[in-house]
Amino acid sequence: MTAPAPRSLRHALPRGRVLAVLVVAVAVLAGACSSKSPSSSSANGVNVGDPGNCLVVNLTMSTEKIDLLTSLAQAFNQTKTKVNGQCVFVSPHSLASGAAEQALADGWNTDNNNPAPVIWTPASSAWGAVLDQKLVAKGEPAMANTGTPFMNTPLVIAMPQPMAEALGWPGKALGWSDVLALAQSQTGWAQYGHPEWGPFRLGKTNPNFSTSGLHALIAQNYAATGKTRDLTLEDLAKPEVNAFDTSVESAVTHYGDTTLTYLNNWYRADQQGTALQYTSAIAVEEKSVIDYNSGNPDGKLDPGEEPRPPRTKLVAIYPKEGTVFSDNPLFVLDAPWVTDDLRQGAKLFSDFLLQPDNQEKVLQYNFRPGNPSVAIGAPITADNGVDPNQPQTQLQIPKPDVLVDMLNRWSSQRKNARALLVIDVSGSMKDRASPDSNETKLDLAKRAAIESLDQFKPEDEVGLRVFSTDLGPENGGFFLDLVPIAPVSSNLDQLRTQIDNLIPTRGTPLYDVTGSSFDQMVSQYDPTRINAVVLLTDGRNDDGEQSNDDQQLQDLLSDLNSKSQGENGLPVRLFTIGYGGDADLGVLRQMAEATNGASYDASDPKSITKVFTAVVSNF
Amino acid sequence: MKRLLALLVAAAMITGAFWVRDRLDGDSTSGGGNGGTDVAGATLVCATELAATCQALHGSHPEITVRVEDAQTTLERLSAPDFDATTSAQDPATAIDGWLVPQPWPQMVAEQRQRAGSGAAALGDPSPTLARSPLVIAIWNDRRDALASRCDGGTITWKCIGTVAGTPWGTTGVQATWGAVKPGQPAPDTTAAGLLSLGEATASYFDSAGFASNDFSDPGFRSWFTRLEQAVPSFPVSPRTPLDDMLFTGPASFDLAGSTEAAAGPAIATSRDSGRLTILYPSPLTTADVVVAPVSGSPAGGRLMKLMESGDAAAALAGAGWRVDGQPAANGIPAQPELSPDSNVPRAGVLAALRSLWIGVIR
Repeated sequence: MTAPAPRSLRHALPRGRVLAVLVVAVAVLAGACSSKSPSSSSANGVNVGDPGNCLVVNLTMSTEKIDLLTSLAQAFNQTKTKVNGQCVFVSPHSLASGAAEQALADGWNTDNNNPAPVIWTPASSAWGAVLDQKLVAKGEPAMANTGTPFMNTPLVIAMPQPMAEALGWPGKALGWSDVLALAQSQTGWAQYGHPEWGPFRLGKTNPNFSTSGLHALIAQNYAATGKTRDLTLEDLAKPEVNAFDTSVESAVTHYGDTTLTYLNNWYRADQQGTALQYTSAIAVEEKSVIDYNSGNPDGKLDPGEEPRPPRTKLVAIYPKEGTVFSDNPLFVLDAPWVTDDLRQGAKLFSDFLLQPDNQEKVLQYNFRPGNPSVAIGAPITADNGVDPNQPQTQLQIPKPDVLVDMLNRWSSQRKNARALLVIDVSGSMKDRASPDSNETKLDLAKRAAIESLDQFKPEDEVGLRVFSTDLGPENGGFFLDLVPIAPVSSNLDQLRTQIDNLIPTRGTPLYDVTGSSFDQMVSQYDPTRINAVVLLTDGRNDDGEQSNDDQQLQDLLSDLNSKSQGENGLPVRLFTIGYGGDADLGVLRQMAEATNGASYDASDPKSITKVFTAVVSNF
Repeated sequence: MKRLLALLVAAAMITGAFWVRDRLDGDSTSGGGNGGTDVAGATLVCATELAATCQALHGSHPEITVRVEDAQTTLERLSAPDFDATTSAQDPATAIDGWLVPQPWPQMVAEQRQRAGSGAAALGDPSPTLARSPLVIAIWNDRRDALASRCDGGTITWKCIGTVAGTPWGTTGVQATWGAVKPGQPAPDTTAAGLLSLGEATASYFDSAGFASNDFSDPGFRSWFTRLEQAVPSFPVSPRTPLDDMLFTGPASFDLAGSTEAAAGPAIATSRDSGRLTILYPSPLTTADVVVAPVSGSPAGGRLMKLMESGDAAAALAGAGWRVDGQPAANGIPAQPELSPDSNVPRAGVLAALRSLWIGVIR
């Protein structure tokens, strides 16, 4: 294509003009020989970012597959695939399955969420059914309809190997009924010759947010009815089913929006030799068992982090009654914002994901490939605590109206909570939430806290404490109990009013208030409830005496740890929220982890509502 | 003068480039063999089971429009009293000039219109059979061995499957984890393969494909039929089939599933589970016989029929797993058993009655 011009021309024309003619000719020639469609622009020839003129296919995915799908989306974008002459760019965003379902059902508020998705891939098709049921109930058209599953992983009961062996694993087929019977037992592990393991503690996540939680709830209700299919509204309404569910929930340590909190805590407890006291079994996806056993409990390695296998391996129990698969469907949404071109682009990406090469990558992330031509090999092996030949029976996903009813019933069946909300009202809370906002950080926190109160049920007990310095003669002047802990049925209005009236004051006696709040919950521990402190702060410890801060922190961590863990500990959890850019996230994480709780990052003040919702999902 | 000459040369190069490009584009879009444009703009509607065939055909003949939908959807559209080819052509979602579907769906349209007194026929005479595929059973090998021991003479039939469907595989050993016997079939109320598979199962119960709708009142049959169909764990939303689910999740979803050989053979042959699955040819064996039916009043209908009788179409059908005389079989399609000339498909009216019975039992 760069053949020189005829010799006579080169000599006859000034060099510059010859070059100009040739450049134009070659450019037009190249354009003419290429496809009729315009080519996409890209930086440095590698399409790793949206080049700006492409058809952007927004992809919203459940959080556990963000690394995998980001990698595959980048690979797809580099293929420069086109629809009607326009390049297609897949833009990945993550949002927990339940949160995305709720956002879609509510019309997708782009202020609080990612861009409206063209493709939605929750962990399970069940979420699509729930979404469509809610929309149809509102008189709106279904949006998810039929998805294309592209990989799967079954729900399993993960259990430390010694505990599974005590129950007869691997020779004996175990199931939900065995685990749930143990969960309701008064004697706990003592009946299996291991009183040192204490009561049976069940790990479950909140089914409104977590796919594992939703699937475990489905399996639990099948176990309650003795069925494996055709669960009905009438089944759920039976008193004995309700009693069974309530009883099982009573063995739960706490809930939460993701299984990763449990797995991280379990792994940390394992490193301290207390794994068997933290939790006895958790309903998680098979992939999480492999992640955990490889020393990567949250499935994500931080820079420089080296995976170290746990001391005690988990094994996957594939319930004999059957289980549910997370089938990771790709829903191309029937939504007003999805044009025909976007739909075509989404279909091309879906086809791309199912190509064998890309399905091999799925295995690398511990999922089972959706393309049947790709073999299920390592890491789905016995060495990793899992069995590629299991499960042998699948439980039917109930019909959407049954699913919705099950979730509604769970809200009253779940274990009651006893929580102390501890809110920082130090002077820095009067700062603006963002440069473009007229609201202070405290304004946003108050609104989020008030909204989160709706997640509590009437039987939960909740109190409100604020902390700062110079708050009067009582409690050393660093905290005030504005609303004593009492059933929400009796103090909800008071909680709302008091939160609404909060005003910023002075310093941040973080360590003092954490220690005293925790001690109070330990001294008033109620074994029938989830006992927790929820602490929101925007700053670092500031009690007027900086010289002893380090020692104060070490003492506090030691105290929190010894009182909440081990054979003599009481499972009171501390959930911390680091709010705004100045919060000491590292210290807050240390404090939460010392109690096998969890810390949440709301360093962007606008995220406080989402974060508060996630925190309260633990109850 | 020299400047003009340079421009002329450049223009000639550009013209040449456009000529080369058009040649390249032409090569990439025209089909082999039958690449005429006489079917340009025609819409061929394909039953779901023939999706792969039609996609291949569209690849070699992009001038035709292909739409894939369940046989029941097309049947209902064509059976509507107000169906009119010209009117429906106004909307791409309803346009249809020819219908590629197994027998006896064209006849079912005719009978439905006749019963409704809908006047003129919606379809012209269908083509001779273009391709065939037997209705088979895909089954996991360990389930096959266990099931054979519970069937008369060790032979697995639909009748035997219906007898044990929904009962526990066993209470001890490995079978304790298999749960209940879980048969599967594509949804009979929407798909051609599902209804034909149901017809095959019914023929197995009566030991003859010559049954009639009045046989459905037999209490023994109704009990057997209800047990079989209520034991199907779920009906995946079309176009997914129980066989798809078996290949996706393993034996947890279905122990066995009815399917066309065209769908099962190639998919199993290329599957990671090819060594764990067997294809059974039950007796009496039913075959799905594919025809194309032109829509009455459509000027393109006749030309679509010619296209479907061409070598391109035959290759597309065979490539998708259908048995076509004179065409090499696709991977996973064996030479045996040879197919009987008789398809063993129940008459159109009987099939429609069977569908109604199924809806009464399941939906």
